[in-house]
Amino acid sequence: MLTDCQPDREPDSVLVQLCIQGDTQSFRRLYQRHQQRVRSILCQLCGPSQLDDLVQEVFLRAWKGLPKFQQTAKFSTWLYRITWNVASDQRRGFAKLRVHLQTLAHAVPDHHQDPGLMQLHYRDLVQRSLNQLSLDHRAVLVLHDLEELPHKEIAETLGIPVGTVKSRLFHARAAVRKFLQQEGVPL
Amino acid sequence: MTRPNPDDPRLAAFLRQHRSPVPPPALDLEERLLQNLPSRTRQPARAPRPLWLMAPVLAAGLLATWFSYHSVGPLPPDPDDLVSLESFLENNWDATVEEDLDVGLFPN
Repeated sequence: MLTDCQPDREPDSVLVQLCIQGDTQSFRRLYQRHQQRVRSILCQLCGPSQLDDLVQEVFLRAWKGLPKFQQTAKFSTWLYRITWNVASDQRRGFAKLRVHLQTLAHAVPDHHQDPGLMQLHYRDLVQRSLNQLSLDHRAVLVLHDLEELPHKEIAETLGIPVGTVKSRLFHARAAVRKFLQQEGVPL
Repeated sequence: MTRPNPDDPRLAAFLRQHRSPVPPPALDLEERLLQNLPSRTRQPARAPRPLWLMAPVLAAGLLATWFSYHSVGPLPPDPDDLVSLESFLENNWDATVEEDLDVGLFPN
C-alpha cells in the first residue's frame, strides 16, 4: 500500500497530491483528520438529522474537486468552504428547516451523557438561540465562537471580507445574548 | 487552538459549554465513503524537463550537419564530362562574346 509506512502527521499537502493521483488511503487519512470538525460544523448549521449523509457529501465533493484545488489555500479552509456550501444547499432544500430543527432540538434526547436538568435547559436555549439566526450570521458565530476559527480563515471559507465577518459576528452575538437574557440566563 | 480574538468571552464560553452534542458517525460511514469514491485514473508524476540535455543535443546536431555536408557533398565531376564541356566552351565562346558586345555597347 502506498502510504502505510508513512507517519500519520504527514502534511495535508502531501496527502492531497497522493489523492490527486488516485490514492484512496491518503484520502482516508484526510477524512480521519478533518471529519470531526466538519461534522461538528454541519451539526451546528443543519442539525443532527442526516448528518452522516451530509458529511459524506462534503468528502465526496472534496474528492471530486481535489484535482482543481489550488494549494495556495489551506486544505482545511477549502474543506470548510465545501462544508459551508453543502450546509447552504441543505438549508435551501428544506423550506421548513427552522421548524424541523426546533422540533428535533426538543425531540432528540442525548443518549451519550446524562446531564442535569439545568444542563438540558441551557442546551435547549443555546440551540434555539442559534436557530433564530439567519444562516449567514449563524455560520459566522458557529465557526468563530464554537469552532474557534480565526476571522481570516472564516472570511476565506465563506468568501466574504474580514470586516463582514466581524460585523456579522457582532450582530449574531447581540441577537444570541438578547435571546438568552430574555430567557433568564445571566451573562 | 486558542481563541484569536477573545471578545465577549463569557457568551462564547457559555455557547461552547452548552452546545448540542454531535452524534457519532455510523460505524461503517468511513468505509461507505471510500467505497463510493469515483475511481480516478492515476496521473503519472510529470517528469522534470531535462533542460541540461539541450546544449549537448544542439552541439551534436551541429556536428552531424557539418560532417554530413563534408562527407556527402557534391561528387567530383566525371573526366569525360569535363572534356566535352571544355570543348563546347571553346567552340561557342567567340560567337557568344561578339553577340553580347554588339548588343550591349552600341545600342540604336
